[in-house]
Amino acid sequence: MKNSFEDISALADAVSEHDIDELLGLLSTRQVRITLAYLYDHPNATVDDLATAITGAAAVDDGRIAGESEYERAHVYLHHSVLPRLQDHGLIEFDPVDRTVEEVDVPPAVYDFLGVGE
Amino acid sequence: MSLETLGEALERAEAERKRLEVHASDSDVAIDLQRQFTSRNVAVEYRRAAAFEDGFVVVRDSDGGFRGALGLEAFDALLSPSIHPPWTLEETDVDLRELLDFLEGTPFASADRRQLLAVSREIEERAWRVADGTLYAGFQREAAFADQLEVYERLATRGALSVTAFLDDAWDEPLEGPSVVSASGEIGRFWFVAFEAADTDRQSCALVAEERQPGKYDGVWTYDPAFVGELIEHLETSYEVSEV
Repeated sequence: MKNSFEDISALADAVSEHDIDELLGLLSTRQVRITLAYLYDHPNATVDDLATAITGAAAVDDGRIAGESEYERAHVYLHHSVLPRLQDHGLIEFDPVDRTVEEVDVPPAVYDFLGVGE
Repeated sequence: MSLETLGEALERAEAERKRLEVHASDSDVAIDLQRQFTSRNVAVEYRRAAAFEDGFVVVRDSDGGFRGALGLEAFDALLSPSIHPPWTLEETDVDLRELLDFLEGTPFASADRRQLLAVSREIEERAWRVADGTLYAGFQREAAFADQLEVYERLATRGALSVTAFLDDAWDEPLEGPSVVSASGEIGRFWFVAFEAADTDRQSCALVAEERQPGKYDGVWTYDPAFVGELIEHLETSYEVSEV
């Protein structure tokens, strides 16, 4: 992830329909970035898939095994924070009953900013 | 339900199907792992994760429940483990124990001797730590036991451990410490190490693997105390194990 000043300017220009400060605030959360990175490859996902991705990425970072309790925590955080926030910004559709997530409108500039899709 | 053969023990342990999910940017890693773990009871699945710098693996149980995740780099440590005698393992930074916990009960295919030796070491190390209970180990060849003789003699002097080696060969050399049972048949085909702890079920563990191709083993290791108990019982009823 680069996040230089030029990147932020490019992002701000490209996503003028979003409040750049809010968007940066959103992207400052690691679990949000992992969720978007997963949705880049799998635009239709389940909350289970996303919790798996978050737990797997944490295992990579920590160089250790991430177990069931970390997976459960990722689930709760997705439900109560990550997914509602992404939905509020119109980037995803989140169905809490079916536990499904669909990427609906993530600007390409956001993926560029995250360093994915190159 | 008691066990009649080591083959039956392996079959029963393999019956619990597990899933290994490989999240990586390309499928080559998954193909390699498939080779490592493919037996009819482990499904290796590839999930594309191009947007992630480093891949990871996820172990799921038969109903799809999440068991654990581990980065691919750390996971590789299991595939090329370092081997240490049980009394030095704790001084190294090898976290083999955690890796073994992660894959406990997951049947593996085509493991080589080095890998099985690493798992055996973990079981022996537990026996060393607990220092009370029964440790049974099978050796397919006399030379294999001769290689490990120092380890097993030292284990036999530890606390109240009772140590028996099962050998598909005659053994004439008098030993101080471990008992030796000479047998034939299944002992020659299987690699097994079983430790039943004296006071606590939690430390019991066993490895059972069959040499299905020369130098290549399919098997499983488990911390299931009931399974370990039955394995021990099978060995005691089928062979003449001396009471120590």
